[in-house]
Amino acid sequence: MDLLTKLCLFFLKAGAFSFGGGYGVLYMLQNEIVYKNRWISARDFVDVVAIAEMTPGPIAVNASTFVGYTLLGPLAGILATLCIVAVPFVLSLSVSIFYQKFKNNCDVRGALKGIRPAVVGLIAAVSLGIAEVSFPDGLSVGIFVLGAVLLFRWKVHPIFVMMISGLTGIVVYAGIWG
Amino acid sequence: MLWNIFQTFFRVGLFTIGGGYAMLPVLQEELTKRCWLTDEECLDAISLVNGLPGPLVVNGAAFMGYKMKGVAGAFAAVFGAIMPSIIVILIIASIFSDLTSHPWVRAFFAGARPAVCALLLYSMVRMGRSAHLQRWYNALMAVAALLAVRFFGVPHAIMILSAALIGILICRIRPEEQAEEDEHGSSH
Repeated sequence: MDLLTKLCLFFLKAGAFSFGGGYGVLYMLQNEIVYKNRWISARDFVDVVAIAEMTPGPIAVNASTFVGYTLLGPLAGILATLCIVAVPFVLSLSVSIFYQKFKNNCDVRGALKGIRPAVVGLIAAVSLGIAEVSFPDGLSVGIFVLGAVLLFRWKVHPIFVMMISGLTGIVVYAGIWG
Repeated sequence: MLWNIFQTFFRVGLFTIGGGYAMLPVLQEELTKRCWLTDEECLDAISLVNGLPGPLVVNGAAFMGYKMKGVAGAFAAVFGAIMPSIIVILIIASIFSDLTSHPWVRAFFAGARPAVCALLLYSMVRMGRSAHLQRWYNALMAVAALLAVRFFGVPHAIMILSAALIGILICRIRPEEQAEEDEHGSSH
């Protein structure tokens, strides 16, 4: 199987199982893109997440465009994106068409309820992988604490948290003041 | 009409920075001010597609697009919603490797990485709330999911399907508890 087919099949699958929004799909992307297929490095993956967070659009869409482009150029980037949204698109369309029937079905509601806490576990799993490459020194722990305070305490919008942390990174690591 | 739908969702996609829920107010404003959908229809749409796999923007666009103009409307809305991301990311990706050789850019990302961790922690806490982790079986499910995928190498898809099956079982055995969750439910 050539790389493009493999890529498309992977993103179709990733889309089909991307429960719980952007962060839920990150686990699958990290596992297959970084660990299994070694398409991009663990550190580049975190950078992709950071970029996805600072640019418009859903993380899954941004990450798939980025990975597709990095591996095989712009067309693959677009194709990967169409693949990752294909299954969610068909499902949402079906729900739109048939939603009266879905609404109070016990099995449908139960399945969705079971998946929700599992997604929290998935995000924990992806966080562990990301933490492994994100804390090379004490300064980065400081930036983590700063980010957490901005998010939890002051409810600062994620995009500004990324910006502030990145700029802090420039100050402390590139040493523009020292 | 199709072109209008495309444009509207393009704008929504362009201003959705940092994930799904950020775009809700924008989307609602855009759709209700043109009388394409009512506030209730918007909220219904979001709560219905919320549980499906896929980005909320894409799912919402497909659902609402169909309500406005059938299958063609759904396509127009989804293409509109993802187009800005594709364009922006293609531009960034094409200069990324040149960018990353610059020390300031490297320093920027070194600073942003721990913030990504903080962000994941934040989203985990928020999702934990809406997933009702205070109930023991939900907390157990979250821990089991983490252990399964991270330490026992269970494939992601298998884990999701098992979680769905367990959810169905719980719903069959104790429907009243889930109904109760619904009432106190959605924190969004």
